[in-house]
Amino acid sequence: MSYLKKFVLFWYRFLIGDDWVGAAIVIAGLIVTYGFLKVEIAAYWFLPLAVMFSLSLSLFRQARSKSG
Amino acid sequence: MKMHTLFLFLTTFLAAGVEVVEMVTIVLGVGMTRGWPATFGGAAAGLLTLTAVVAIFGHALTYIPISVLRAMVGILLLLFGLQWLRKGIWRLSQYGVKAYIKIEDDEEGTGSRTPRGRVDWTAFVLAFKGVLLEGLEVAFIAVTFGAATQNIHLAVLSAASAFIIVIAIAAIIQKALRNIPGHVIKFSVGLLLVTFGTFWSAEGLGVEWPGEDLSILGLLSLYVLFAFIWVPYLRKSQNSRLHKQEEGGLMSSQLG
Repeated sequence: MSYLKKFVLFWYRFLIGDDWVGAAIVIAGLIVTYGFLKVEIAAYWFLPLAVMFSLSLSLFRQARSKSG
Repeated sequence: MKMHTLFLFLTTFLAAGVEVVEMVTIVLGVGMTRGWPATFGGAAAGLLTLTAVVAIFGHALTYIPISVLRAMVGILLLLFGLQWLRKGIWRLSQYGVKAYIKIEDDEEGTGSRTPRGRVDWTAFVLAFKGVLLEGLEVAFIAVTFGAATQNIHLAVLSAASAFIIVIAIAAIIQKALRNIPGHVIKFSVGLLLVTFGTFWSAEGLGVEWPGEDLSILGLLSLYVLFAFIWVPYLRKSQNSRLHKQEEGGLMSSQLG
């Protein structure tokens, strides 16, 4: 495997792992937080909600797949 | 010692101490879950980079865009910590807190250790980023407090004292933490990474947290509460699944 491929794979596994949906929700949460800041709305509450939503969805899917 | 000198020492000590606690928490958590060689390597590399940056920039240190660095490190910790926390909650619902599972035996995805002789880059990167970011913040505190009071030497001495004392306490605590089950440590580290990750990434984007650094405790409490809502729910769903399987097995044996 080339070094570049290994390097990309390392960062993918490091940041995304086996749940790209969870990571995408958090990234979306960061973008929305930034949007709130741009229009001068208090934004500190949004990211923790996005994190908990992402985790809930991942855990729910995991529970369903293990019981299915 | 004059009153304002004592005040400068104490203020710098406390402010730097908070940052060093954050740094040590990450290094300790990563070291205990991923192993020490790569964690120490990452921390040492972070410390060397930090020393070089401080030596080169000196007073100009305050011009480094810390918010960009904070956002980058925060996003990295948040995304990585999310995987650990999810697996930590899952494991906790399976085993509870009393079962003793060694970290080496609790092998699943992100928690697995790298085979001997190979560098664990995950541990290296986490420790490096944690030390560099928090170390830079300690350096900022020393430089700004020192410059404001025109007593840079005392501010540096105070920050260095905070650094040494917190690390000494961490070394003592680390021995006591060895008796805690591996999956509980991983769950706790996941919680801390997600907490710091949320705090830094949002702060890096420009979010003003109510209560500033104190909101780290608020975030941690929120995530602990969240986890302890999920753990019993998952345990209940796993138990009902096992119950159904047992019933199914019993029925098929009766039919047979």
